[in-house]
Amino acid sequence: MTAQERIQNLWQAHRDLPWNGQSLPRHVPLLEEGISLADSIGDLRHSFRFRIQLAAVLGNLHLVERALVPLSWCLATFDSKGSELPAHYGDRLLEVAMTILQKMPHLPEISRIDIDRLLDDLTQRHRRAGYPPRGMLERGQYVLMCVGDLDRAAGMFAAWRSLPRDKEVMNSNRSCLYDCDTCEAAGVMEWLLAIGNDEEALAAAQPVLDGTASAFDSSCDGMKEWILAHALAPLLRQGRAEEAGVQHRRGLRLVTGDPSALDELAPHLTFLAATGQAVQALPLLERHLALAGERTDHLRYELDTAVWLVVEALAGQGTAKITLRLPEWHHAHEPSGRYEAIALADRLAVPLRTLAARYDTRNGNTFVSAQLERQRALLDLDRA
Amino acid sequence: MSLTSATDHTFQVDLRGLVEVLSQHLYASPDVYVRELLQNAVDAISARRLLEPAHAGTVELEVRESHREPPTLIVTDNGIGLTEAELHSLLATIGRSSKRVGPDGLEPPADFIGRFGIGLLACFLVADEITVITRSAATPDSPVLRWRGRADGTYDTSVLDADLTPGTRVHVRARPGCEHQVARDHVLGLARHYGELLPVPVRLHDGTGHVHEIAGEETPPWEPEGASLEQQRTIARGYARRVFELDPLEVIHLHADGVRGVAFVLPYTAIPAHRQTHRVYLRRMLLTESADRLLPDWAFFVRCVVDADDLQPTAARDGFRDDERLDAVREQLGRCVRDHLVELARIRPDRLEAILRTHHESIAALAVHDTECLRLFADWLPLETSLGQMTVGEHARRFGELRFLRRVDDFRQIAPIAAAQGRCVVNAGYVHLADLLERLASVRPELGIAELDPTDVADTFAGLTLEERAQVHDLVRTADLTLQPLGCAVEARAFAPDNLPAMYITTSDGRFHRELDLTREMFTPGESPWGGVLDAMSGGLPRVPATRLLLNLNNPVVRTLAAQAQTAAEPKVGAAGGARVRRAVQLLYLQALLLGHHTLRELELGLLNDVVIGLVEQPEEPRP
Repeated sequence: MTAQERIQNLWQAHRDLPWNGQSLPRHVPLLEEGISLADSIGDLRHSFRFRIQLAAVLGNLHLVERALVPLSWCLATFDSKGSELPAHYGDRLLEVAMTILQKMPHLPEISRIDIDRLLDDLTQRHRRAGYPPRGMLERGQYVLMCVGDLDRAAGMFAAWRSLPRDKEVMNSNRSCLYDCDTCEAAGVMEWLLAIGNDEEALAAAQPVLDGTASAFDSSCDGMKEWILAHALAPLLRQGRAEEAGVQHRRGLRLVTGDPSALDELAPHLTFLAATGQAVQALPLLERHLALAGERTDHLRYELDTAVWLVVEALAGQGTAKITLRLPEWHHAHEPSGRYEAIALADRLAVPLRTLAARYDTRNGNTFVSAQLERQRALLDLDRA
Repeated sequence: MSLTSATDHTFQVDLRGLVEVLSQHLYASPDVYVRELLQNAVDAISARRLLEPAHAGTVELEVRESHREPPTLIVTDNGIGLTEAELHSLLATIGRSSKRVGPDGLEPPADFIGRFGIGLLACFLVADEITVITRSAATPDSPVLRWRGRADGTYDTSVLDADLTPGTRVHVRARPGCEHQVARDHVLGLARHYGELLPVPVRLHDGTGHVHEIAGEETPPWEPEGASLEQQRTIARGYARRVFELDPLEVIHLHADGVRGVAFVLPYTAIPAHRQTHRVYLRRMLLTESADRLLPDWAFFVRCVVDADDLQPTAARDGFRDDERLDAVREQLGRCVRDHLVELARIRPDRLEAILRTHHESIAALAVHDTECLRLFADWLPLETSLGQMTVGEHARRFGELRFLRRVDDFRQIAPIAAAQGRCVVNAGYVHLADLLERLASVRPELGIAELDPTDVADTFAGLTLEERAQVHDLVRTADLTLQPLGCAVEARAFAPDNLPAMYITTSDGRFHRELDLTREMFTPGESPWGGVLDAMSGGLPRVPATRLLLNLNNPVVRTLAAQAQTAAEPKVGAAGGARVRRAVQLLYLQALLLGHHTLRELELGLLNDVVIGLVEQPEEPRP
C-alpha cells in the first residue's frame, strides 16, 4: 500500500467514526498517524486536514493546550500557503479556531491581553472570510462573559440577538459557523444564567426540558445533555426540585461514562449534593474522576467543583469520615482512601478558590469567584 | 394611562394563512393529509369500540375523477360519528380534538392515535372546501348531519334527510394546482405507505369496480400471531427484503414498554458515523421511515421497524418527542439487541461468528462498555499483530500473553523488530481496541494482557556482555553528547534485524513536544497572537526527555563506528576522528527519524545540511 493509499484509508477511517464523546478519543491516533504520514511525503492538503480535525477533536475533549498546536500550525499555514488549499478549508479552520477561542479563558496562563488579541484576530479573519457578523458576535459574547467582562458581553449579546439568522448561509455549504436551534438556546441560557436571570434561562431551555424538541431533528451532539445538566441549578433555585429530579434522571443517563462530557456530569453531582443525596454521588464521582486524568487542573475545574460540593455536603450533614477512591494523580489522593470529611472538603476547596482568584486577577474582576460561591450556595438551599 | 376594566375578545384567525404556515413549517409535505384522514377514521372506530367492543370497523376510500371536475377523495368510516354539538365544537374550533379527553373526561385511552385535533385542518393543504357527512352512533335516533368548511374560515351545517349508517364520510375536493395530490394512484400509494399495517380493514375503490386492499391483511413483522419461531423469522425476513431491500444476517425481536418491533442485522459493514434510519409506527400508523435516534449509538449495525402504543408524537407527527419516556425505550431496545447477541454466544456461536465477521467494530463498541459482552465476544475479535491477522482466541492459544501497543505509529516502528525476533505484538491503535484490551485484562486475567510501552521494547532486547559494553562505550558516550542538544538520549543494544543500525523511540509526550517546537518555528516572534500563546503555554509545560536512539550492535556499521570511536578516543588520533564519528551518529539519528516518519525540525534540517556539506568538503582519502 502506498503512503497516499494509507493516508486515504486513515482519512476514511476518521470519517467513518462517530463524532461523539465515546468515540472522540479514538480519532486521535488515526489523525496523528495521518499527520505523520502526510508530513513525511509533503502532502500539504492532508497535513492541513488531519491537523484541523485533530484540533477539533482535542478541543472537544477539552485538551485545549494540545489542540492549540495543530490549530496554530493550520493558521500559520493558511496565512502563508492559503492559495494552495481549497477555500472551504478556511471555513473549517475558522469554525475550529472559534471553538477553541471559547476555551481560552479557561487557561489561566493566557493573559487577558492575549485573549483580546486572539478575539480581534479571529474577528478580522471572520470578516475577511465574508461571513455576516452574527456568529462572531455570539462567540465574542461568550468569551467576554467567561472573563467576567459583563458590560461588553451584554452589548455583544444584544447585538447577536438583534440580528436574524442568515438562512441563506445556514443552508449553504458554509453553514459550519452557524448553530443549530439547541446550540442557540444553550447560548442564550448560559448568558442568562451568568447574569442571574434563572427564570428566563429556563424559558430558553424549555423545548429541550419538555421534550418538544423532536427526537429525530438533527441538532448538535451534546447540546441536549448540556442544557439538561445546566438547568438543574436554576430549577433548584426556583424551588422546582421535583422537575429538577426528572431532568437529572434524563440527563445523567446521557452523560454517564462519557469522558468528553465530564463538564455536563458535574452539575448532576452538584444536584445530588444539593438535594441530600451526596452519598449516591460518591460512586459516580469516583468513576468519572478516573476519566479525567488527561485534563489539566484548570480544565477539570467544573468537575473538581462538583467533587468539592459533594464532600462539602457530606461534611455539612455531619459525616465525620468517608472512604473515597481518588485517582493517584489527584492532589488529595490518600493511598488508604480514608478521609476526614471536613478536612477533605477544605483540601478540595483551596485549589479551586485559588484558581478562581487567579482567573479573577487575570480578568480584573471577581466574576469567577462569585460564580463558584453561587454554586456553593446551592448546598444551603437543602439545609434551608 | 390606567386600565379600568378588561374585556375579552376573540382573535380572528386567517385560516388560509394558517394553512400556509402549517404546510411550510409543520408538515414536511401536503401528502400528510391522507395520513390525517386515515388516522381520524381509525380513531373514530376505536371510539365506537369503547361502546360496542365487538364492532367490526372498516375504512373505505374512493377517488372520483373526471375530465370536467377536479378529483375528490371520499373517506368513509363506520366509527363513532359526530353529534351536532360535537360538529360545532370540534370542527369549528381549530386545534380542538375529541381525543384530548376520554369519554369519562379523563386522559384519552391509549388506543386513540390522534392527539392534536388538527387532522382535518391538514386537508386544507390540498383543498379549499371539505365536506363532512356524519351520523353519531352514540344514540339510536341521531340525525345525519353535514358540515361544510371552507379555507376562508367559514362553515355551515345542515341536517340531511338521508339514510346513513353511523359513521363519518369526508369529501376532499382538490384545489386547483393540487390535483396531483388527490389523484387515485397517488392516494393509493399514500394510503399504503402510511396505513398498510393498520389494524382495521382499509380499502380503496378505484371506480371501475376494483377494490384495493390497503390494510387489514398485512401481518406486521413484530407480531405474527400463532406462528412458530421459524415462521416469525421468515415473515420478518420477508419484510426486510421487501421494505429495507436487505437480506439480514440475523432477525432480533424487540420488546420495550409499549413498544414492539424487529431489528435486522445488516448484511454489510456499516459505517459507525452514519446512524441507521428506522421505520416507526404509532399504533400501526407509519410515523416516519427516517428515525435515526431510536437505538443506542453502538447499535449502528442494525435497522429496525417498531410500533409504539403511547410515545408522544411531535406536532407534525413525523417523530417522537425527545423525552424521558423515549430515553427509556431507547435503552430497552438496545438491551434487546444486546441480549440477543449474548444468547447467540451461548446457543448459536456460529451465527454470532458470522455477525462478528461483518460487524466486529460495532460489537467492540458494545463490548467496551459491557463486561458480559466483552467476556463472551472477546475470542472472536480480530487483531492485527506483528505476525499477521488473528483473533484474540487464536492469539491466546498460540502465544499466551498478549502485549499491545496503543498507537499505530508505535506499532509500525516496533512491529518489524518484533517480527524479526518472532515476537507477537498487537496493534491496538485502531478504534476501541486499546480500551477493549485494557478492560479485557481485568475481566479475563488468564489472557495475560498488558500494554507495551515502546520505550520499554529496548528492555526486551538481549543485554550486552561486558566485552560488548566496553566495545561500544566510547561510541555511546560520543553519541550521547552529540545528540544532547536535540533532546535525545542514546543507548546500545543488540537486536534483530541486523541491517537496522539504529532505532528512534519516542512517546506521545515526545511527539507532542516535537510538534510544538515545529509549530512555534512557524511564527515570527511578536507578529501573531497565536505564536505568543504557544510560547506562553510552552513555558508552563514540563519538559521530560522522552526520546531515545537505540544503536544496534548487531549492525556492521555500528560495530565499525564503535571501533572508530574507540580509536578517536585515543589522544594521538585527535579531533578529526571524533568529528567523523559525531557526523556519522548525526546521520544515523536523522536516518532513524526519517524511517519513523518524523518531520525534521529546523535544527535537524540544519544538521542534515551540515552532514552533507561535511561529506562534500571532506578531503578524499589517498588511494592505496
